[in-house]
Amino acid sequence: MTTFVSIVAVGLVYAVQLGLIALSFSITYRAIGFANFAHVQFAAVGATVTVALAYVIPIWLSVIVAVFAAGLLAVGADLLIFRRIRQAPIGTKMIVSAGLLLLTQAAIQFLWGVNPRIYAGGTGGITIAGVSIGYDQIVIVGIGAVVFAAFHQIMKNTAAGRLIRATADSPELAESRGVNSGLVVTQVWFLAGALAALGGALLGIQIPVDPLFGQQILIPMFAATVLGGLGSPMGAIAGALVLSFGQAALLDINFGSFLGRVWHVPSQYQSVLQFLLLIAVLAVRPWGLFGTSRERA
Amino acid sequence: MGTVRNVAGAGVSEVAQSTLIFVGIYGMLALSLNLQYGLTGLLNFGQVVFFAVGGYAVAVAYAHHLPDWAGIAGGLVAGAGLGIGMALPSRRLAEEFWALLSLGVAAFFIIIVTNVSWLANGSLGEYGITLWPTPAIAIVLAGALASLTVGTELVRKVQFGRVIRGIRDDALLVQSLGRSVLRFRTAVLGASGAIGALGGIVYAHWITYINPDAFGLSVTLLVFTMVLLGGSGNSYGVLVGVALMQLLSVGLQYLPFQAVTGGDLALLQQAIYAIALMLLLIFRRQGLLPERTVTYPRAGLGRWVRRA
Repeated sequence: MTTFVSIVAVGLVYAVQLGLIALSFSITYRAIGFANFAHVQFAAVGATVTVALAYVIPIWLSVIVAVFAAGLLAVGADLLIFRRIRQAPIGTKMIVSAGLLLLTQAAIQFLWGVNPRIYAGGTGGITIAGVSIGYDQIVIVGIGAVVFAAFHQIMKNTAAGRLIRATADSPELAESRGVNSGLVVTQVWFLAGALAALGGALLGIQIPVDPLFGQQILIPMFAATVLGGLGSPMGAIAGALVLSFGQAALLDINFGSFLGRVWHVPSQYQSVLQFLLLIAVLAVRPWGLFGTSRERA
Repeated sequence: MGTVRNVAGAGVSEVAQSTLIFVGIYGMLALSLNLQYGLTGLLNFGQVVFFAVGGYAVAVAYAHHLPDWAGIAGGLVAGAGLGIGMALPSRRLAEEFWALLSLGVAAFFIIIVTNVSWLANGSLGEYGITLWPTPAIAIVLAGALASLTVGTELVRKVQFGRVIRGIRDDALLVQSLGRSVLRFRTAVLGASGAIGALGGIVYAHWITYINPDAFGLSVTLLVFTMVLLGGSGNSYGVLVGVALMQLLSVGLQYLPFQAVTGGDLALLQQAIYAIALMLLLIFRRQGLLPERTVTYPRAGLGRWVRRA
């Protein structure tokens, strides 16, 4: 029971953090049509700004500032760079976004220094079945539930959501019906940057944040999104859940018990586990859990 | 990674020599990537893994007191094997899924060599690998580069080259014409893996130490910049791109940045590479020397009509 509760707690928290980043990555993929490597940097901006500002202003305010800052950065990246290469092949766009990843990483490292910083705070908690659960974990899961539900409702039942889906499916058709697709794309970038920053901020208040934060979540983000099916928003959340619980369970299992010893998978192999899980799913469903199959020679 | 040895206080000839050797090493990586991306359309974001496999084969052989040739052979075989292994999922995955997977393979490799310390001393790295004499390195690199460049240009013009360029432009069409796309991709990735590994082998015997930090995503991006700057698909252009980026790298070390010290210089370099790459792809996607279309002599009467 203790093991079960701790797996659920750890799994849910990481699923929210990773899910927000994977969801926003998936939205840009759907609306703009390529896998944006630099997307992790919006999460990194979210984490670094939150942790840095938390020294001077209340934590909730620094999260809000970080989220807006990352949203504006995402809009800036689109206007300055990605809008100019809209007609280019997918490969070109991906390479440009990888270049942006390295540029922003150098900038963050220059401004931030190499040392990791930690958010000091968020103490206290409750105990369930012998497992202590911090208030920060409860708040993170709560925020995640609210944001995911709101996102789903907005995309499905509001005019703004319909505009975004229409533009993603066919910009020309949307334009012909009077939609300003440029404006919609700008909104999508803002939304994606802001959601990624929220995910990054929620992750950043729990772990040490260093300048390589972005690169460190690159593989988990891809794994969660591809697992769920690239371009499927709900798939990205499902992918994050599968990855998170799979990883929490695998790290918790005592594999040595078969041999009468204690042996756990060392935590530095976390991303190896994620990668192997991804390979296993792709071997069975190359288009992910919720994606749709595409023809491939 | 440092793209040149520290030039502070080094003589001009020493700098020139080091620059040329790095042009050779990066030339191998760039020609390998050109074969994959430029000619076959394989978007390999884990290109650095071939380089790392070559370097680590040498380091592992050295750490376990095996002779040099064991590291060389091991590196070439492992590079080719890894390339062939990476080709397999390309059959079922869409272009960008495969690209993401290739990035994962490189990350996977780095995590393994960082954490499994009996391989080559984990994150600290292996020091004191046998230094090859400079003439030997120069001969190996010059020979390999020349034969690869000329070889690639020849391959472009024969049936094999036509098929892989076809795969790049429209894989489904090639498949529908009865060619096995997988088989051609396997051949290309196997060869590219061995070529990249050879670059890593020479690198290990020139720098004499190998650690995981030298094989990050930034190396892959630098090689992409070289290929795209010169002209993706054109081997001579690729070499021009390698030489220009290497000159830029050396030039940056000589610039009088009083305030810019060691670590910040590396950051500045990374920023400049990244900006160069983005500007290049926004404003001149075909590179300096674009790929030339292959022309064939006209068949039948056409030849005579034209001559007349």
